[in-house]
Amino acid sequence: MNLFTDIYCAVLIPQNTDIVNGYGTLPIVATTTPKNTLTITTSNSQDWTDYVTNTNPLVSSVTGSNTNTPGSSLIQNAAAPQSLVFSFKALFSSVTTFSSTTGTAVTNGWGMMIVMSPSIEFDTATSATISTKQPVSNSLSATAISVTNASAYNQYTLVTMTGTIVENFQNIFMTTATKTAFGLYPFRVKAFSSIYADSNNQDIMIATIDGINGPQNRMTYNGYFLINGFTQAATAAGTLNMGFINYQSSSAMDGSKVPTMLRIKGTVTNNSTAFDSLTVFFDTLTPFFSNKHSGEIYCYNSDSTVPCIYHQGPLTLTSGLIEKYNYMALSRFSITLNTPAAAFNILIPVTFTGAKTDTNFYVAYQVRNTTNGYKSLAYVEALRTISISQTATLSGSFGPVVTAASVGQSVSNLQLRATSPSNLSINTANNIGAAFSYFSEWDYL
Amino acid sequence: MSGFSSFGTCFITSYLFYNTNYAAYIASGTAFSSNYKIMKGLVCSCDTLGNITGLYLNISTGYIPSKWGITLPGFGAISQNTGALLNLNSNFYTVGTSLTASNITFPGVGPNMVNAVGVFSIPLPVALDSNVLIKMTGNPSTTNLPFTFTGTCAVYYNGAKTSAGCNFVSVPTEVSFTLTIL
Repeated sequence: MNLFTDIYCAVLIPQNTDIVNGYGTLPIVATTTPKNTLTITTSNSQDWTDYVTNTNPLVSSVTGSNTNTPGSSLIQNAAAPQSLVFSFKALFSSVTTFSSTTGTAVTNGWGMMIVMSPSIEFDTATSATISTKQPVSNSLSATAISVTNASAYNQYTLVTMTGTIVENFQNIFMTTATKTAFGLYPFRVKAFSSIYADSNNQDIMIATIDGINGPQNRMTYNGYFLINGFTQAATAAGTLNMGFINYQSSSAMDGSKVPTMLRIKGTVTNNSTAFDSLTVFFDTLTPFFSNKHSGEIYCYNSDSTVPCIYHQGPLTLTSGLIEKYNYMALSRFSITLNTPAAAFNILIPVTFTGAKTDTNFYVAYQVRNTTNGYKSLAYVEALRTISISQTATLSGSFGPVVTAASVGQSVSNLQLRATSPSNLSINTANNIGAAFSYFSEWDYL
Repeated sequence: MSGFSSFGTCFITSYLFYNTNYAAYIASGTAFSSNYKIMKGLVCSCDTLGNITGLYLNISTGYIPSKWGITLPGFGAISQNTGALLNLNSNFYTVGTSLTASNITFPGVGPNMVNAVGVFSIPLPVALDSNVLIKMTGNPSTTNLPFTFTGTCAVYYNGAKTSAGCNFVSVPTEVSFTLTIL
């Protein structure tokens, strides 16, 4: 990393509306140009993830004690201290240039710096010192600090782990890539991560440094790793139901006859005042666009006329294996609700590739800060996987009863046959797919 | 639309079904093709009662289009509460009543006239939504017509000639008019 040595002046210009984000902001505008900007070195994140055991690289454990046994996710819970559990599969050679020979002393020390959002706060009320749970106890020494004072120049949480011989960090970063976990305790996860690039984002930046004890010109940064905070609710609200209507797994439903519908129904009573929108993360669905440029999609919303919006995630799943645990990287629907505390129904026609049994979702919602307009997640449920293995039969008798009518005729009390040849169960909980559907390119209704 | 209230709620919605073979068209020169259908319909959810055997919903006033002839477009489906699509089928009924064209006017012809000059005027009994084929036959249809046709044809609306195309083919037993809606 090359440090910037020139002086760069900028001003903040207030404006009422950011046309991109839809809220007021204070953009920084340069007023001078650095003269000696020769290079700005960047470094891509290394991939230390390993989802084989279905574990995100950072989860938390709500056991209230020091542990490195992963929980299911990073649980948002401001009321109780938790262990942060990092699970990495990273090679020794990716984090240091020192020899892996046993007993090799590391000049000026080796360290790992973990920088996080201050919303993941080191909980000094529980303990003034950080505890660790490592594969081999006390291999690395740890310190932690959270800077949360609003008047501070920056707010952050910083954990520093250091070692003096290579064995210290070989226990976590092995010469043969092996997934290891270590826990840090106590921390409180005070908020959900934002899905926008703003101060509520819980990106977690990790760097490993040879010579961390200095001097600065002898420090060498080796490993870089950037992960998201996959915060989720400790318990599901239980009032948000979601399921498919008209799903078959044997072949694609392209909507040429009837659509497959994603149905969401329920209520949201918590945060209903600041409530902004439902957010549904998913892996393998494609909506029907009414405006592809703006992401507007066809959607029935009993509570709002604001169009539902589709945001395409960066990950396209082909194997259907791993990235479903990273909801930040999945595609999502944003659904505006005006009165979330009242019962609502959402229907989104979707398509999907053929021969697809499983679809993965995270149901979430966002709130909007009434002061600065920033949106942030206020609720994320645990991963839901809907599995349907089904081939529909070409049967049933449906449609308008026109045996006594002629074309071009307006028929009073036109009957629409909706007779099910199958026994249907009443919709309940997340099984909300029992339905009769009728669609046509002619509008009989 | 009524008739489902004891079972649950019907949601009326729509979407645009649209696709092309643009990738293949660009990559390999395949003839361009596309689909564009604004699909309108309803989803009636069984939130309070399950089985919907023998059910007919009621549309207060429904217009039967002429665009598709007697085979109307539309598909119905039944889905289980798990979301599994159980049954899918096209319309069960076809339009059952034939239309009758009346007040057809003929050119004046005498018993010995070989070539008559005049106009056949056929008032259409229904508004046209799409291209239409009109056949004029004898009775029974295997009987040769007492005349053959030459000349031209056109489509008029409220006395004014429209841009709709009109062509015909005449054979001894039949005259076939093809009206093209532009």
